Amino acid sequence: MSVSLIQVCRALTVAGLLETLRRKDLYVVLMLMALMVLGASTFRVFGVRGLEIFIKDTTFLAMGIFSTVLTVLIAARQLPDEVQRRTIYPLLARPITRGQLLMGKWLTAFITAGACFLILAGAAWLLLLMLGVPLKPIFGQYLLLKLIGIGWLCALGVALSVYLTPAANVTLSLILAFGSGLFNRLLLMAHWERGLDALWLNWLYGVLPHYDLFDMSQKVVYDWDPIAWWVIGAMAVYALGSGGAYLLLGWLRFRRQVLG
Amino acid sequence: MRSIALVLVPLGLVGGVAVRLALPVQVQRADTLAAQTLYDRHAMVSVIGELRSSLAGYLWVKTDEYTHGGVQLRPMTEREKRLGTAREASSADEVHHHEDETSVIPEPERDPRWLWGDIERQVKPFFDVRHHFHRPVREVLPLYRFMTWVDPTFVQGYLVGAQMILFDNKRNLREAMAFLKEGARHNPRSIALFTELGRHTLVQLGDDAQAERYFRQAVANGDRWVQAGNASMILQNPFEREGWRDAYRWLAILKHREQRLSEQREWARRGLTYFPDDPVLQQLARGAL
Repeated sequence: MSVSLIQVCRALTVAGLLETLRRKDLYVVLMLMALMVLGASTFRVFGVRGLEIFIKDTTFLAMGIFSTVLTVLIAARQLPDEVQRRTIYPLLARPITRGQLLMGKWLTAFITAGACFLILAGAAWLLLLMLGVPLKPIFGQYLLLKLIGIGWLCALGVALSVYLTPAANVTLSLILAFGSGLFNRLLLMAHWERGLDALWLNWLYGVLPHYDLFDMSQKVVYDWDPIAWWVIGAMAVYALGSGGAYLLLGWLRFRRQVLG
Repeated sequence: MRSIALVLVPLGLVGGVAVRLALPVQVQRADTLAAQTLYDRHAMVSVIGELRSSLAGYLWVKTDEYTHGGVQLRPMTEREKRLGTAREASSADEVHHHEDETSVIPEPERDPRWLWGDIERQVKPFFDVRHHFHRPVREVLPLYRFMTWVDPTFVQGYLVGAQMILFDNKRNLREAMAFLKEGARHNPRSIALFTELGRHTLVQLGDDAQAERYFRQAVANGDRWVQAGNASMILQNPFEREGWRDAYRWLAILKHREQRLSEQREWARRGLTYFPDDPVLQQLARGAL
C-alpha cells in the first residue's frame, strides 16, 4: 500500500504543528513580541515625531533577525529530534519513503517558521500603527518575498541536518544566511580589484546562497514604490531551484543513511 | 526552543540589573564628565558605556543612510579612483558633501552579474549617485538628538547636528547654538565645539568679543591636550583637528579686523606650530588676509 506525497506532507505538517504547540515554541515568538513592545514603548518616552524612519528601521531589523534565527532553529531540529526521540522508526515503518519524510519535514518547518514570521510581522505592523507610523503597499511584497526566503532557508536547514550535527547545522546556516550579502560583495570586489572573470563570478554567484536578496525591508523602511513583479517571480524560481537542489542533496544522503 | 526561552529570561534579568547598576553612573557621566575614572572602577559600567558609544556610532552611520533613502555609499578604492571606473557620488542640493564615494550596489553598466545585479537593484534601495538629491534634513535631526542623549560625549553628533538644524532652517540659529552649548557643557575639553560656537557667534551674531572668548577657550583646550602629551590624539580626530586649526585662523582674522597685525601674526605663528602646512595660516602669519 503506497501513500501519496500530499497525504504524508499533510500528516507530518499537522503532527509538526501540534509538536510546536506542545513544545511551546510560540512562547518564544510571544516573548520576542513582548521585547518589541517594550522597545517600542521606550520611544513613547522620547516622543516619536521625526523618529518614524528610525523606528521602522529598528523594527524591521529586529524582525529580520528574529525570523531568521527562528527559521534556522526550527528547520535544524526537524529530523534530529525524530532520531533522538526514536520516533523516526515507527514513522519509517509506515508505507512512506525517506524522500516523502524529508519533504514532509521541510513543509512542516516552512509552515511553522512562516507562521512565526507572519505573527511577528503582524505584531510589528500593529505596533507601528499604534505609534502612528503607517506602512506603504510595498509591505505586502516584503511579506511575500520573505516567506519565499523562509522556504528556501528551511530547505537549506533540513538538508544540512542530514549531514551535520544540530549545533553545526545552526551555526553554518546562520553564517550562510547573515553572511550572504558579504559573500556577494567580496565576489564583486574580486572582479573589480583582482580581475576575477565575469563568467566565474556569475558561476560562483549562482552557487553561493542569496538569502539577502529575499529581504527588501530597507525599501519598506524608506517608503519606496512597489517593485516589479518579475523580480519576485525570479526569486521564487531561484528558491525553487536552489532549495530543491539542497533537498535533493539531503535526500541522496538520507536515503542510505543508517539511523540511530 | 525551550533552551532559547531559558537563555532569554536570565539574559533579560542580567541586562536589567546591569542597566540598574549603570544608570546612576551614566547620569553622573552626563553631568560631571567624570565617567572615565568611574569606568576604570566598574567593569559592568564599562560594558554598558561601550554599548552607549556603539549605539551613538551606529546612529551616526545611519544618518548617512537616512539622508539617501537607504541607498548605501562606500569609499572608492584606490584603483577605482585611479581608473575612474566607478560613478562618483555628488550632491545636487549641498546637504551632504561627497568626496570619492560611490554606491555599494554598482550601476548596470559596471555590474558583471547580469540578472543578479538587476534583481539586487530592484530589491535594495538604489539610485544613480551622480548629482543626487537628499531626503529632507528634518527626518535626520531626531537622530542627532537621540545619539547625543545616548552618548553626551559624542562630539561630532553635536557639531553636525547643529549644522543640520541650520540646514533645515537658517532662522534656527538659537536652537543650533543651544545644541552646541549643551555639547560644550558635556564636553568642556573639546576644541571643535568651542570653535563652532565662536564661528556662529562671529559670523551670524556679529559679537566679536564673545566669539574671541570661545576661540580662546578652544585654543586653551588644545594647549591642555598638548600639555597632557595627547596632541597626536587630537590631530588624528578630523573634527577636533579642524576645530583646532580654525580656532587659530579665526583668532588671526579677528585681530586683522581690529588692525592688530602683530597679534594677528602671533596667532597665526602659534597655529603654524601644529599646522605648519596650512596655507591660510601661512598667509595670515605674513600679515595678509
